[in-house]
Amino acid sequence: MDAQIKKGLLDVCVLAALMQDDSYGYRIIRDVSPCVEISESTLYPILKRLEAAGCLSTRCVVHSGRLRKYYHLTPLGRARIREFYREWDEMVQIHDFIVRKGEA
Amino acid sequence: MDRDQFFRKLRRRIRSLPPDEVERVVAYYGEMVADKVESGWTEREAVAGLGGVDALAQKILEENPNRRPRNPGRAVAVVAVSLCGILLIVLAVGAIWTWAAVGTAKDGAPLFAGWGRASAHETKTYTAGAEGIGSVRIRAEYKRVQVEAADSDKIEVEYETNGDQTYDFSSGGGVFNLKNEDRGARGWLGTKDDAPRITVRLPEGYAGGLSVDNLGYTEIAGLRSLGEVECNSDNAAIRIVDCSAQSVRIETHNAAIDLDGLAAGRVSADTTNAAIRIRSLDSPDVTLDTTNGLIAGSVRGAEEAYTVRSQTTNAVSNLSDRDGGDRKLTIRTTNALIHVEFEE
Repeated sequence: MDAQIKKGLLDVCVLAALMQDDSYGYRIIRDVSPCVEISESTLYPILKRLEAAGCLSTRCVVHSGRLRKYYHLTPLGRARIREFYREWDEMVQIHDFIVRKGEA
Repeated sequence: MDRDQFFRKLRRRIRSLPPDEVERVVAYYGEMVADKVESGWTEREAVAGLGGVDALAQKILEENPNRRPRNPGRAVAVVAVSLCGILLIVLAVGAIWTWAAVGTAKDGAPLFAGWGRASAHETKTYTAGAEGIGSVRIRAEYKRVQVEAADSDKIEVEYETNGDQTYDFSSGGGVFNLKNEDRGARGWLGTKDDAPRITVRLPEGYAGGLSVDNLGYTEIAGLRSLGEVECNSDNAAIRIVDCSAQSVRIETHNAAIDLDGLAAGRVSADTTNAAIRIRSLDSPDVTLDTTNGLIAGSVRGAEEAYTVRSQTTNAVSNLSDRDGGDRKLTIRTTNALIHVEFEE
């Protein structure tokens, strides 16, 4: 898949992983990776970018004697996921166009 | 490579990043390794899973546009610092000159002339960039200091001042400094409620260290990602509300310590003649120490999760010492009650 498209999709996947519940780094990777390959070092800049954009917020929680950072989906993050649905409709139209022209 | 080696090397490789970013990176990957170990990987496997140190450091550096420039930048910085130094000397000489002149004019006025004066303070603000700041240090005299979270990417300081106050602000080397001195003869009265205020607002996600030295009431509130926190104050209370931090160390004399909704990797609180109150304190390593005050409140987690040591010489404790818990709770007072509940 095109790297740019994949990058955009990963952002939305990470946001989607927070839809039901707040989550932390390792769990986000476990949740997302069956669908798209994602490594720790790929996730870091995504989380940073999404936080800077206001799509998620963070809090630290003590877990087994250490701090674990939890990520929380903000209303802006939810809006970003809805935006993805709209973009996807456009993608489907473009796809149909390409397929139609290919068949003609 | 074990975890410590890995992170030591990683720190070295990425030291050109701003200090707060280095801390964020290390905290993030450290958490990953710990979570993997918890789910059954060995430490070595977990570390190896991150890829080699060099490759990882390379990737992190490439992603960071705001790297501190190396040598050329340093030369510029040296010149800038030197210029600032000269400017400061000029200002200082000017200030001493003015002060000497005013001092002469004041001669003959009663020493405590300021006592009856209404506190004619004006409120001023100071704003600094928070980018690259890994440590915030506040030194103040007889102020009510409030450090709180704000929905902003800047450090904002709101402070009340009058002719008796000096305020210095500086940022450099990843450290933001606020230094206040109170030259008023009635300084110690300032610990009362009408003491001038300093409010420091930090970005909500501020993840660096915080150190406050204040001869006055200090409150830290709403900061959820703090690094190391240190807070010292003589004769004035310290209160921490709804905060998370890597570690918290608090020391005061003759005044209460109040920890309300604090989560931290390590907590130590020390006072002499006053109470320590805790509510929903969430930490695997707690030490609370006072001499003549009671220690009361609640900690998060079941009693079984704690290894408890409590000691009071002349009063009673509701805690009994126990072993076997992962969390450490050490509580000492000499002449007062200990009453701590476990919140499950």
